[in-house]
Amino acid sequence: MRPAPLRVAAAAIAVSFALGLSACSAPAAETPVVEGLPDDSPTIDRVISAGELVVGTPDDMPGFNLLDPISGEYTGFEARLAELLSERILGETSVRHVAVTTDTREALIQNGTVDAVLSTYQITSERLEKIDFAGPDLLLGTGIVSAEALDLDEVTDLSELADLRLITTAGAAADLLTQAVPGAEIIVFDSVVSCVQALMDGRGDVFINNEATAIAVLSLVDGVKIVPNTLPLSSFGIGVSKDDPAFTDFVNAFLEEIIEDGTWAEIWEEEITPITGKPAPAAPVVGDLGLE
Amino acid sequence: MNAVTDNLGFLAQGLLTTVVVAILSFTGALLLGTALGVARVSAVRSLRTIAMLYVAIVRNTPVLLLLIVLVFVLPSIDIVIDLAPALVLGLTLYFASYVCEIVRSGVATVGAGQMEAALSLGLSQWQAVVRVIAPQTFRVIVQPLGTLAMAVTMATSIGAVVGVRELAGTVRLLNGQYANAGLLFGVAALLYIVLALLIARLAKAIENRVQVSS
Repeated sequence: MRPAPLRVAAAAIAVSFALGLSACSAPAAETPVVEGLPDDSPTIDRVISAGELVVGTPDDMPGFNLLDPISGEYTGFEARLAELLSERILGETSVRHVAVTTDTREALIQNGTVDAVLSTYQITSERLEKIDFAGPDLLLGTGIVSAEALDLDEVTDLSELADLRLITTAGAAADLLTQAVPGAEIIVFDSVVSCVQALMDGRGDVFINNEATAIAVLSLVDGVKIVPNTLPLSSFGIGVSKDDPAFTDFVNAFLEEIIEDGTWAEIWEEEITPITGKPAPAAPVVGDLGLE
Repeated sequence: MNAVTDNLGFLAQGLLTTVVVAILSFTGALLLGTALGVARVSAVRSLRTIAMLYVAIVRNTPVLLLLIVLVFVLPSIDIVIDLAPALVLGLTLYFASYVCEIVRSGVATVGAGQMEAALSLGLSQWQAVVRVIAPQTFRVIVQPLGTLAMAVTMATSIGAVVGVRELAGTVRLLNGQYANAGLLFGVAALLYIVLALLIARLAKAIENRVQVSS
């Protein structure tokens, strides 16, 4: 029997494969670049082995999370926070964005599709039953936008808006309204952009959202104004899994760190001040979720 | 569970909107689609072309796009249609193209000999269509129309995107508040299934009624 060249070739391929594989697996075996990470957080282990932080964000929130369709880059306050968080874990910026909507946020956290959700995510006790919140990372007031022609006094309570047609996005703003103004006509659209268009088309009287978004709207279109109000601030946090308290603690520590060293105010002034024209407000107190 | 039990009235309102929108849209689609279907098989060439173009354009466009044009684009030329009527109009225009094709294929299943026989028996063209062709066509198209009625009912859920608070939109709003997607969307799914089964039953009953006993 002649020596089978095929068999030799197969052996050679097998050997090179084995070598190749061991070469490939080498970097993963390295210890992480960053020191001081908790070793009991499955989320952090996952981020390190995947080499990227997966965050759930919207892509149409000016000032917070806005996707530039041409460059594929995300800008905004919470997009920057996500970058900083990935840097804190990995030693370099590596973020993958997964689009989330109000309907999917809790589910995507629970099933592990995303490591964290940063989507001007209002902290509520109902949501805390499903997921955990790190933060708050934001404290925002309510913004009320109306057509310039609408005559409206300073709003001290949402119930004063009961006779108006209210436009808002699904989510925190809509919940707030259904609770505070029962029976009012609330028109819900998917995105801020749709809401603004609807307001311009006269489909509603006022557009209600968080303060910063309202101001962003003002910068986008003419013929609208902000209705002054004295409504209380709401707390917004970073949504994380309930099963990984070590990660919640880690993100809280991260937030405290960037608030303390001034980074928090710095990115606010880079991302949100150009829209609102106001300096960074007082930072939230991490751990104070703002619930009774 | 209280996400559902505390909001039964609210959910019922959403369900009612879904049913009303579905009935109006399907009726509209049936009327417009039948007119188009008749045009599609008529002897007049220009009518055939118009119907063919309508189907080619509308059926090959996503219904969501059509709706966005009605709700967000038309206002830029000063045509503002209220949201719920815009949803009904969008679904009517879209599903009419399907009705048109169902009618056309229904007519095609009736043999050409039927028309010739009717005419040779001395019936006028009109009588032949109304008394011979139409009943046979109707028998064939009841089932596909029933399926289409279900599709229309399910499609009403895109109203949630353009601010119409039908069943899906209601559930979305509640989910924002209660953060209980599994339960809320599960209940919505169940209600949609019940609606679909009711439609299927109705279609079957109509089919049995028009069936020629052999």
